Amino acid sequence: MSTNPPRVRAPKSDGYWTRIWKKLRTHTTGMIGLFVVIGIMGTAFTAPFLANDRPIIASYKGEIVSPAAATYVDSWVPWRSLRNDLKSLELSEGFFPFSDFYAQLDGQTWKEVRDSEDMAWAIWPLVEWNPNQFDPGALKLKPGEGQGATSGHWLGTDDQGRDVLSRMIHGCVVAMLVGIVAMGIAVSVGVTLGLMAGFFGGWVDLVLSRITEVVMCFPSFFLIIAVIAFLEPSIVNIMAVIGFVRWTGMFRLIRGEVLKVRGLDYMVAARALGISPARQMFRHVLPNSVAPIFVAVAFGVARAVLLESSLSFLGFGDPSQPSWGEIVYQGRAYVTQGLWHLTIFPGIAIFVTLTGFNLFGQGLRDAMDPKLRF
Amino acid sequence: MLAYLLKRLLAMVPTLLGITFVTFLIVNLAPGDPVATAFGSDSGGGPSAEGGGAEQDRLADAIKAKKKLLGMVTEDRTLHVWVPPASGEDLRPMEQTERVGEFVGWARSLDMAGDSLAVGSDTGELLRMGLDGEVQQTLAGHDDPIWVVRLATDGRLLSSDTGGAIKLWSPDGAELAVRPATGRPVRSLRFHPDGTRAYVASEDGSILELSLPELTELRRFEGHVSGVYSLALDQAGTTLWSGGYDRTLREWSLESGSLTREREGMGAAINDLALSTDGKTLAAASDDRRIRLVSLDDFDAKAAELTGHFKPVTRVAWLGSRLVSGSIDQTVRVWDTRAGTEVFRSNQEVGRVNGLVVSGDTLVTASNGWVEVPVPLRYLRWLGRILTLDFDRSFIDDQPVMDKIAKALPVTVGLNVIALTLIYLISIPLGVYAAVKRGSLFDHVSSVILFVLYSIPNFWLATLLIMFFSSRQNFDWFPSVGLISDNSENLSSLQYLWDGFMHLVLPITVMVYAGFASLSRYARTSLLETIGEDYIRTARAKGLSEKVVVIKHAFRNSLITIVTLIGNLLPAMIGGSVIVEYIFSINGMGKLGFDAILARDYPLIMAITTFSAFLTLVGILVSDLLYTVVDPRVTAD
Repeated sequence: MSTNPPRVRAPKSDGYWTRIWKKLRTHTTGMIGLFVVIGIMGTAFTAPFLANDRPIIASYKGEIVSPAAATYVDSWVPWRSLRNDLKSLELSEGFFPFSDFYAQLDGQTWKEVRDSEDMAWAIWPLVEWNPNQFDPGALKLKPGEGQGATSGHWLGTDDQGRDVLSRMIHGCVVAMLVGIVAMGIAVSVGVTLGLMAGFFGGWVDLVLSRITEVVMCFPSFFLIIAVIAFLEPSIVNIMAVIGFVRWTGMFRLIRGEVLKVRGLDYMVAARALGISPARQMFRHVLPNSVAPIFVAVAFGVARAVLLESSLSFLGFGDPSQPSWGEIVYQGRAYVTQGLWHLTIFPGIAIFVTLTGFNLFGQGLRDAMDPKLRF
Repeated sequence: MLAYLLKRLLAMVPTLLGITFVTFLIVNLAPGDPVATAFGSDSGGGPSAEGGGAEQDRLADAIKAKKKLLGMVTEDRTLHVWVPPASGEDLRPMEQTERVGEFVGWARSLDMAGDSLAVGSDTGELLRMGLDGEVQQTLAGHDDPIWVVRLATDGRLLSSDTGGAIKLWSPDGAELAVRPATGRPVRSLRFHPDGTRAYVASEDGSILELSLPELTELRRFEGHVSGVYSLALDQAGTTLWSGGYDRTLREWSLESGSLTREREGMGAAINDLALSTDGKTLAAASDDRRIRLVSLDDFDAKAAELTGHFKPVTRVAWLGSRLVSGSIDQTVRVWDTRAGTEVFRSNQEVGRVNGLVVSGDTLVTASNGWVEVPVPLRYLRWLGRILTLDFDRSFIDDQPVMDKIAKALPVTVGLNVIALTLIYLISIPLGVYAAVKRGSLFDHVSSVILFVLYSIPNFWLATLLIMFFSSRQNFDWFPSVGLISDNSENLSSLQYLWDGFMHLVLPITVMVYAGFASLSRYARTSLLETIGEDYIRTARAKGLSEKVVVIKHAFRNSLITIVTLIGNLLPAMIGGSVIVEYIFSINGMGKLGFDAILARDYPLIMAITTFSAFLTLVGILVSDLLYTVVDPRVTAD
């Protein structure tokens, strides 16, 4: 104390997230999980380029076109209706880069014009089948059999003659959509209510905690199938129901964190400084209590994917969307007849996804909570 | 301890109420008419959407019966007589409701002359009654539901049914004339004041003038483009007004037989018309929940509107200068037409008002028999039934719901007890061993394996197990359907046990594997946390052997978290058993619930959700109590 140490400029310390990232990078299984997560999400985003009955890029009648990219436009309803609106106003000239391939093709499919003179060259997707496309030539339900190398079904077809691999690739979209949107709903509801309960305390806390307890008391899976059975089994309903049933964990987590943070010295200081409750809540409490949510989200997405595939397995899935659980559901009728491909492959996809998210969640937890590292 | 228990139970009351509320919501606020959808029909039935075949009627009756079973409706087979206060003060609301004794069928139509009532029913019965409820005369009636009856002042009676048949009856009950069925329901009937003619409004849009007593067609008033629902005549018998589904009000001259005036913009279908006693105002009851008062002096002027009913108004009548109305919203209301305000509203104890007549000071209403119970009251009844564990009968096979649950619950609980025991017996030693040998090969390998197990979807594993161990293609070792073979009666007791065991292997495997993973991770983590505590270091420093340290000091303390996990495992029981029981065709709670959902068997769904939620609460309570038992630091306060 008597002698001042020489002044050394402290090195700029890493931020919270940088530190977590550095720790996560040393966590082998966590990183494996992260790669799996990125892989699945990438597959979901690029599904039309991976499995489609249109070329990724082609030279057709002297023009370079990307019919596969048009799948995004075609399959996204708001786009489609907007395009039709604009077409009726005759504004669509040059506005949509991928518009109206069908008009150009004279009602033929891209596969039909494949060998025509109009098509100079084309790069085809890995799997040349659309997930909902019925292949009349394929032997139904036979793994690995088809009509030669180009049109072969690598993982076989399902009982309606649709390509299993293509359905699995597009199944990523449903899995990720349900996982992420459902968790988004759960997080929004859970964090909002949890923050309110923890911050305001008193009767707000009492009421919200009771409500949470009530929701938690119901067997969630049973509640979800009940609600889905009564509503239309659409992907939107499935996401909403899973989200609105599974927020309780988030609520409890964030409420506990907020209660902890509220008692800390800097919050006492904030109150003493007369900072408005809103600022206290959003500037100080929320950022400091939100971290554990990320871990819960990683596990939660895995859980939501599992729930969606379980629902599809029980026949409550969205019939218009290819889903992994639904393929297993189809395969269930044939397991005792030795037709295993419908069961094995999508199951592996679900398993890999769950493992990926769980590993990533665990890695994140280990990186965030040093106490739990052994 | 007892005080603590009481306090805990008391704290659960709001949660219990919440649970009952949610199960209540499932049936009562499901989109559409849940009971109707359970029966594959969504015909709720508006006032004008009636008719249909006998099959549909039976279906509607069945739906109503189920709703009664669920406490959504009660039956009201009485006619209501409303007596205004004797004081004669004009604007006082009616104070007294008197009920006439039980009526046989469900009254669909009603008329009154003097103190004699004529009532037609859904079943085609036709009666004359006194205001005291005494049946004076039973007439031969109709084959179809009687929708309109009309009493003349001389005691003659006109009646018509949904088939379009019209009958005229003499005062002593003899059938004077019959007009055969046309297939189109008759919506309104009126006597001409001179008693020689009658007017008939029909669903086909025509208005007929019939001679009495022959019931032959004299004239036909054409103009309405769709069904005519209501007619009104003036006192002198010179003018006829009509209204119907085409939203127009038309005035016809009875002398010339031609249309004199027409008024559009009546909002919706006009269900009833009533001419005021001074003959200057026409009240029109409309499907758009309003009553419009049309001035006859200024026919096209904007009509005054009486608003208040929240469902279509079916009947209106004048009671002196006041207007009385009945509606599908199950209320009878009295209006002060000058001020345009409601002066009286009955509570919702009458059903949908089908008939409403005034004679002198007395008002009589007939409702369709079913009274929708108000939601709060419904909830209270539901609470009462939960308290008495009376969940009524299943929609599907009429078995009492409690019997079904009593059969299924032991199966699920039994399976789960076996599974939980196995989980605890295997995973705790595994977790403890992994924690003690932390960082060893065993620790790493076991944690990887458990993690993989944890991520396997249970329906997939179940399907794979059936595929590999229960099919002819691979190994046909274990049966995959049910808990016992069909021929189990013929087996000796030892074989019987063996058979049961073989049936259990696959389902129990599926139930157990994921539990291993999470529980042994918990066991490992909590033991490691305990080992990090100071008192373990003290114990080690004392020179205790590692075995004593781990088992006596660390393990017992780490048990606290593991024990409390039971509370979390219980809610997963029924939800988790859905898939296992569905795949292996085991008749437990999960399959029962799943089948109930598929069949929309609401009593069963409500009972199962309530039951499982209660079980969960009990689980939480048990784990809290265990907490105090295991950890002496936590006192029971």
